[in-house]
Amino acid sequence: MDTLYLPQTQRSPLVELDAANHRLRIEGESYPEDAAAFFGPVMRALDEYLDAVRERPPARELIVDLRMLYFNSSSAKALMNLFQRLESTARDGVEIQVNWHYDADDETMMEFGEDFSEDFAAARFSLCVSDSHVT
Amino acid sequence: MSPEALPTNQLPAAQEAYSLYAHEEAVIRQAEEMVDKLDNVSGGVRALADAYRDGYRETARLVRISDRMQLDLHEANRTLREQAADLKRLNDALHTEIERREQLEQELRRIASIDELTGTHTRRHLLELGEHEQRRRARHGQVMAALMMDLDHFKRINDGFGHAAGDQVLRDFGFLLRSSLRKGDIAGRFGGEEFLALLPETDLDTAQAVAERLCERVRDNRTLWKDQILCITVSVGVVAVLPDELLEKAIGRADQALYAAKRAGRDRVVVDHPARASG
Repeated sequence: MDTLYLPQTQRSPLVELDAANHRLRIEGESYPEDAAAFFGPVMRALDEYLDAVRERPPARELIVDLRMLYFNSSSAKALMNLFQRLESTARDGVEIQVNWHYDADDETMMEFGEDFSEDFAAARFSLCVSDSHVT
Repeated sequence: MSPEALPTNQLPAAQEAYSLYAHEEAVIRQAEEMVDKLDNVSGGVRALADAYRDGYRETARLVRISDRMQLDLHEANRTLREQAADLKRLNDALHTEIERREQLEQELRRIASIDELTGTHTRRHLLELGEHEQRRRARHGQVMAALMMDLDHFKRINDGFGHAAGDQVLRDFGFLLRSSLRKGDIAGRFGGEEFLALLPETDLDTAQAVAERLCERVRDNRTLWKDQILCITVSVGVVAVLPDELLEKAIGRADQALYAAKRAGRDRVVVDHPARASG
């Protein structure tokens, strides 16, 4: 399966789904003009990947790294859809680790991470604080 | 065998034909079918409730996220407003400071360009104005005259009555010089008691007349110093500044004419005529 890579733009985050290494990475700000158009291909690729690992769970866990600086409501909905897929896949027996990264001085992103964490039971969700001046 | 006994033994076959309990059985069947249907419906209702609960939870979260972002925006706006107000205050202070400095600069320029004692230009400013006038006049081909003046035996005033008396004499001479010239003429203190006047658009004869008149007024002037009267005279060298001539050179010629006036006995005007200048 191919790697999906969308470079970061001013209004959309970097997205990288590395199927071979079982990693998903989303970083940056997200307020695309059309959130459905932006996240559509991401969700399709993810669904394809998740279907594959459901059938043959990989030896290593899927690691999801999220490092959001800002996102609008439509992007929040897309993130929630992403989390639902991850949680339901984890319920089917796939090991999934979700890391929610935020800068030490970004209280907003920390609170959002805490909020999102409530939806995870089968998948592990971790809040990862990083120094604001270290990227 | 009574007809009533038959259905008990042959219930399935007789059912369609006749049954005493056909109605009850139909009601039971109907009820059981309805329970099946209810089971189907209740599953649908449960799915609806689940979907609604999921949607409700998502909506609640989205509202929380929106509220939080609005709060951030609101705080950012307030910060921006405060910063804008700070900037405006700084800007106002800066403008005040700029005005103050401009006034200071103007004052400094005035100090640098005007000789406080005589009210005439300083040497540096006089030469600047002179160069400018010479360039302007080279373009328009107009005549210009230069007067070099030196107060006669000024040292005697300083030595005899003190520097303050000398200053008063210089002040009076400054007034006489300025009032002898027209608007547009440039006069300045060249050295201690040495003065230079540049008269644009003035021919040699007119310049000589101006110089003679100044000489006369200085001679007639009485400077009151404490209970004494101070008298002084002035020697003047007059030249026509030639077209394309360096101002410096014309001043040198005026200086020569001034010394000629000094040698000839002071209190007079010596004109450096072009014929002699070129010869």
